Amino acid sequence: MREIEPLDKETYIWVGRALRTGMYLSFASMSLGLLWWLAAGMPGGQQSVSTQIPLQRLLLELSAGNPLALLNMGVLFLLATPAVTLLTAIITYAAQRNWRFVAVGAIVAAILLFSLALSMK
Amino acid sequence: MDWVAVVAFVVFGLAVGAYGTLIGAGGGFIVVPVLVLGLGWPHQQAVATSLFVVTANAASGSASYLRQKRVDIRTGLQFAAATIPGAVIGSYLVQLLSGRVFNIIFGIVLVIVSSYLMLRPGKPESHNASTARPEGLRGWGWTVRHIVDARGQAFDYGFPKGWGILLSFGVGFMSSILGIGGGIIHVPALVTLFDFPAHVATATSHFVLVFSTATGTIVQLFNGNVRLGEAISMSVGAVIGAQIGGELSHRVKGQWIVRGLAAALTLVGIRLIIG
Repeated sequence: MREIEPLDKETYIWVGRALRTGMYLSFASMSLGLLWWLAAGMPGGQQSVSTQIPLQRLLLELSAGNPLALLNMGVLFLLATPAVTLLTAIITYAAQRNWRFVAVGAIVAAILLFSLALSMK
Repeated sequence: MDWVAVVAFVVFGLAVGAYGTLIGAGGGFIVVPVLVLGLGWPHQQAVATSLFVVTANAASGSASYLRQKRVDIRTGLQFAAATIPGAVIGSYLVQLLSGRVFNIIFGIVLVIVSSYLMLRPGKPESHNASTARPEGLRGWGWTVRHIVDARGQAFDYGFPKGWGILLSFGVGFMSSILGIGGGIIHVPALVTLFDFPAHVATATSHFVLVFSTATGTIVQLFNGNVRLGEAISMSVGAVIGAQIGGELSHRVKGQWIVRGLAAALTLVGIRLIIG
């Protein structure tokens, strides 16, 4: 069975875009957050940089001018990127009616979710 | 953590990102020993923080490799499906083993593998490996791929996907025990056992790491083991470094990628043996 390049061209484009967008957002949030935190004189002390802000308070803290919220958003973008990339791959394979790889992508997503759920118990 | 520490961690992350991406690994094999042996961090924090950096490095490196069209996406997704549960099972089973004994055994295995990779007769990189299906179990799940990268270089190769998936399960298992991404095991295995072109193996292994290490990082974040400040600083450097590593990979021959990897394996092996 030979899998010819044109079948995967769209997948390359969209999966690449998803991964790059997530990475850029994450990189921008983390690097700007870090600079902001340093420029603001490390509010909360030197160890505050490791503070984890609950998800529901993230936007509120960001609008209140808390640099740690931007850092936390960077972390969120980074960890969401694989899931978004996977979802993009599934959608592009579905658009190509390549059901076999839609199933493979869905299995990866299911395993990922199941593994996370199991680990967090 | 003051600004001097931030800059130091960014620079360290940059070096890790560049080298890790160049050889198809996440760089955890450098980060963990430096944090544990160099900075005296508890093992759990070093492993968790390293996983975070590896995730950033793998995402950045994969973006670069996808642009070069060297990732075998279909194979990568199938390998990822096996790597993730391997990592979860490994993280449970490692608690039943004596860490010291396991580290010594695995360190010795790594040094033997790296010596083999360093000393084996130089084999020119094959872009068109045999695509004929071997007989019997050796050809389990035989799959043929044809990839043309962004520069027009064609890679034709065949491999037994069944064994590849089993290997990926083992890689996930080992990586969760050692706190590394697993690329340092995955790449040489794909190249030497399955005759994958080194550049495709490197890029595909990196793509698989994105999924497996992100899963591990989320678990470690929930466990409170990630030192976020240091992890973010190293990740910022690693993202830049991974882009440099991805570009450098064009100019480095496949044979040198494997030799670089062998040198890295030796370092990890020695680190594990001496504890």
